[in-house]
Amino acid sequence: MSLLEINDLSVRYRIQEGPDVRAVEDVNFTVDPGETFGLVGESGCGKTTLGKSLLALLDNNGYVESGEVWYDGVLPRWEDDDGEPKLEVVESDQYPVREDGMMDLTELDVEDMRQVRWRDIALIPQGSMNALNPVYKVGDQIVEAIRIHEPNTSEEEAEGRARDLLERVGIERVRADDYAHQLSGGMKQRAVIALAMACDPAMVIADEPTTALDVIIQDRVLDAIKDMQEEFDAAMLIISHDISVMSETCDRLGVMYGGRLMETGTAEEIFLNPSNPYTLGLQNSFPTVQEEQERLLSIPGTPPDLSQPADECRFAPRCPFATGQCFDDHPPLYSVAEGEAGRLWEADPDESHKTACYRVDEIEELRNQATEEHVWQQETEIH
Amino acid sequence: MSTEESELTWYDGFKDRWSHRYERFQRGWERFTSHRMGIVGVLILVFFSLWAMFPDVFAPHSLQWKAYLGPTGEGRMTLEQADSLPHPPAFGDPFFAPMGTTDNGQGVMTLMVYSARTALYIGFAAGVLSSLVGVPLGLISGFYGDTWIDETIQRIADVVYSLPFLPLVIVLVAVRGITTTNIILAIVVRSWINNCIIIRGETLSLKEHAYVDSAKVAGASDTRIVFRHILPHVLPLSFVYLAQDAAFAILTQASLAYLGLADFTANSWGLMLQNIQSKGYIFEAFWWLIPPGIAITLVAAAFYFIGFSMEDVANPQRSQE
Amino acid sequence: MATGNGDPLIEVRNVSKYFDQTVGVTDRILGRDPQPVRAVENVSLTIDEGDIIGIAGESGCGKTTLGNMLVKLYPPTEGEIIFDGQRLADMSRADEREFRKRVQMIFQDPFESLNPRMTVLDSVAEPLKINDMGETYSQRRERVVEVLNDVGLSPAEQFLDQYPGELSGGERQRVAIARALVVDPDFIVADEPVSMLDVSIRASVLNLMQDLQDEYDLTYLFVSHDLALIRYMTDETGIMYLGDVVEYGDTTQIVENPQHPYTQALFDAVPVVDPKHERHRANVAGEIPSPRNPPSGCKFHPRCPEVIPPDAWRGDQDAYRRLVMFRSGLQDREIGPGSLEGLDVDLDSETAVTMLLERELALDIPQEHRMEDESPESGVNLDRLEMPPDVMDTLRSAAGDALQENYEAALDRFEGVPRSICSREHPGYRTAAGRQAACHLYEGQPEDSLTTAISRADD
Repeated sequence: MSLLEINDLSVRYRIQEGPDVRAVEDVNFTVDPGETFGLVGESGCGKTTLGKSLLALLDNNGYVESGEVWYDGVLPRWEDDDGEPKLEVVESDQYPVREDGMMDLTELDVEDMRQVRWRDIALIPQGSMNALNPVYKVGDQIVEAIRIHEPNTSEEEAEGRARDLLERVGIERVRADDYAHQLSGGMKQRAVIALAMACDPAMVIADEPTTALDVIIQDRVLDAIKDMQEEFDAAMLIISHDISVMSETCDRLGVMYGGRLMETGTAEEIFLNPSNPYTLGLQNSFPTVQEEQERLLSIPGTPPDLSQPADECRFAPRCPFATGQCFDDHPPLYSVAEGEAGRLWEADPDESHKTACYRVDEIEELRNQATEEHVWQQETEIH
Repeated sequence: MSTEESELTWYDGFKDRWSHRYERFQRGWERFTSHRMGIVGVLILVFFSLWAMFPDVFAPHSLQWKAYLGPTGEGRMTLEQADSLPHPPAFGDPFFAPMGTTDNGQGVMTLMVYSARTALYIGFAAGVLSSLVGVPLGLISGFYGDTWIDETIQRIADVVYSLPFLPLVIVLVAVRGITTTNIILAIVVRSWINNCIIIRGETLSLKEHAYVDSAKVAGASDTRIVFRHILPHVLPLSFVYLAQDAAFAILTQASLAYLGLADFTANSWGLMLQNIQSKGYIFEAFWWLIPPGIAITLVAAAFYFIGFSMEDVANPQRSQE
Repeated sequence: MATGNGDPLIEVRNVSKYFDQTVGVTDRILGRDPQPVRAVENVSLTIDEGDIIGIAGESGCGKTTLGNMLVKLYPPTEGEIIFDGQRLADMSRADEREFRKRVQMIFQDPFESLNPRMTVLDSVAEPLKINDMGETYSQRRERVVEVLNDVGLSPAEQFLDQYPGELSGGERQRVAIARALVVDPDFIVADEPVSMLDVSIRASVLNLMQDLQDEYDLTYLFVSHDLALIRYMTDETGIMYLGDVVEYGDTTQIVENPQHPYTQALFDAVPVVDPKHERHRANVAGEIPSPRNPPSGCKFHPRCPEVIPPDAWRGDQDAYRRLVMFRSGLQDREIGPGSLEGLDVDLDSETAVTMLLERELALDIPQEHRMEDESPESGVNLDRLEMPPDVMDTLRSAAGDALQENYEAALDRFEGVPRSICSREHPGYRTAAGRQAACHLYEGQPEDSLTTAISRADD
């Protein structure tokens, strides 16, 4: 059973003038226990909003418009002796729990969400280097997290655990007495990882965990993340725009654009066999260290204005392969395996590699064409 | 290049440059008026400005008018009538004093209207002068931060700041005479410092921005950078402080008048208060006491309200730019 | 630095830049010397016309400072910079104005580098006004339109009246480039020109810069921490670490065959967009030290995986590396009773000493480079280290001192232990695999100045 199942999730923001901004629209994916899932996209694609919405951490004007977030966990007050939800909870309609025991996070109230956070799902927020409170010692913050979520822990025990955690991410025990500003950037990041792991969560959401870190430190932090994940057997949802980091760290990925999921699959599938025009454009547009590259391709145009509701495929205005159909309705997720065989079939939920493109049945051809510069320059250059 | 462009005249250049400044101004105005306080402030000021500019229109009588006697001012008051001054508001014949009279027969309303001019003059003059001194000094001080220039200016500011206000005013006034101008000078000597320090702070942070560096790389001289690149950012903030200084000046002048340090030849609300206090009618003639007080409060508040709105224009929290 | 086709345009000779040389009152009384931030230390370079040179490194390595000095934003503390035969420090007002027309800079943050209250026309015309180029308004406007079209903002007329806030990141950066080009410069320093732009936009801006090089006959210096960008855009690169240039040479060769251990680590650390590729992680311990107090000799040596043990060393290189790190930790006062905080042990006991050594001799490096049973929480198994017994005793005594916070005594104990050449002497530049690297690993007569080393190698 998957750990997290997101069904048709739509998240919007209310703004003062104009229609609500559709930050996330109809997104579906699952995260299995222990796996690393990545949400990739550029700024404004909705990935951060999605991450925040899972833990009900949206700003005041954000709300979940529709969809469900099923999580394989149970609130303490619904638990029976085995740790499973009690029978009446599962059966009754007034609790947001389904037959297989998973609960819908979007239906939980504030108090209940608090119980889920940190114990079940932890968050490493964006700019987490600044998420450490500057007036408290680093160790104290970890202790606080432990004691809030596991109230029966003694102060001593919590302190010991805090120092152990820091040591595990490669920070000296003594640093628990330091304040945030006394730690370097990389150390702060690792401290925040330790903080997230403090209550042994089943899943960690990391929003841009290594942006703004130097490359050698980034390397070290990624190593620490991997270590911690293995040791705590936690699933990870990583949100980032850094494609190279994602391709290395994630098992599976979802590529987002304009609030929608454009392609999803394993890292190998997406990077070796990209199957969406947006992914194709991205792939060819950034330089890599490994190879000599003649010329980079760029995707013309600008990201879409999410306050304008649009039924069309969000990428269509910039897509060199767009056809009439693309401007009518956003495509559903099609199976890539079928597409490669020339057929346009909607994907089963269990299938791994899926893409939202009406032309996936011609995907081989599209892949070839996407490497040509002139194909991308049909529209005006400016962006 | 097309032939049209070579015919671009100075006028087109002028239009080009100013059309978007006008647009900016419009946007600023919209934001300003989105706060009711700002509008209220402007309305109050407009109201009092009208009084100041056209006192004859608004005052019920001229300054020479005295109750019972009319404009000729001859002593034809009966004893009984003299005893009854100051007179509460009276409408209709034999005389018309909507706010009553003072103890020597002048209409309170008349005095109020004619005094508006003094108040506004002081407010604007002190405010503008204070900015004229404080803002450039602040810019220079901030731009050359942590050098001897900055140090000098700040030390001077420190010294002046520590001078006690009232003795300073008294000395200035004793030396140069009690005129409104001197009062204004005394106030400005005190209030420029605040401007200077705030603007200095802003400048210190603004000059770290990359566009200042890029102007330097393009070869801009220091003067140009300060006045062309930094000043426009600082100007909205300086308006805020201008408004505050104006309010401060009005209140201060009123206080000084109350203490007897005002220009007796100019009508002012503060003077009115002083008069009522010295003549001893505070508890009896409320119609004489309250209006000047309210007027002072209103004008000072108006300046503060405007300042408040300006602050939002200057530092928009939800900026589109 | 010859790509050979041009005359030297810029020469940097032994340039150093120290910041904050102030001494506090207390320190002055106590007779302490100022500890300035050594942003750039003794760097020499030559840039020929038509070159595209890259300077790469992590944050704090001094690359931005170097770039800023080349555009005369501030003067070097030592050394000189020569532009087209003229020393920057000797320039008269007139010379400087010429200089400003020929040398321009593109900054990292496209929003910050444009004045938000000036329209595009104002911003781009500003250098023209400053330099008295274009006497009438319409002449300047014409030139601005021309250059906006060159950077791909067409039709230019519709951009003239816009404010930076109304433009996208990529458009703003193009405006910044236009502003740099409007005076028809010869040399442009680009400081992280695309790092704040979205990934899909970077390509177009980079391609633009390439195209412009031909059109405007430009020489570029790219400063960046993004190694992929450096590889894509530059012909020759210098790698900087803590103010030193540690390696310099042809970009492709440096990327494919790095000679200096730091360069190797840098390229190891870059993530690879190929899920099947098993990348080696960087084998570098610790963090970048403070530029106020850099290590002696080769600045990289405390973290270097290939630090050279002295000839008299009887253990293995790995053990020596750990020794160097331990000593460095003592010097920085980072090793002490705090390292065992919260653990239930008597600080005076032998157990404590052992625990301290186990933890502090362990290397904070990625798993693949550690010993099998080495881990951050349990430390390293001391018996598995090939450490000569007398050195082991020294370490124990020093650890004991450290636990009592007696750091002077602890450091004194190392008197008898031979020091590596890496910590005693700055390596200077040696030729290795056709380029210059500042590392003792390579043979050859070390040169103090990079330019001398290169010209010698060319002979």
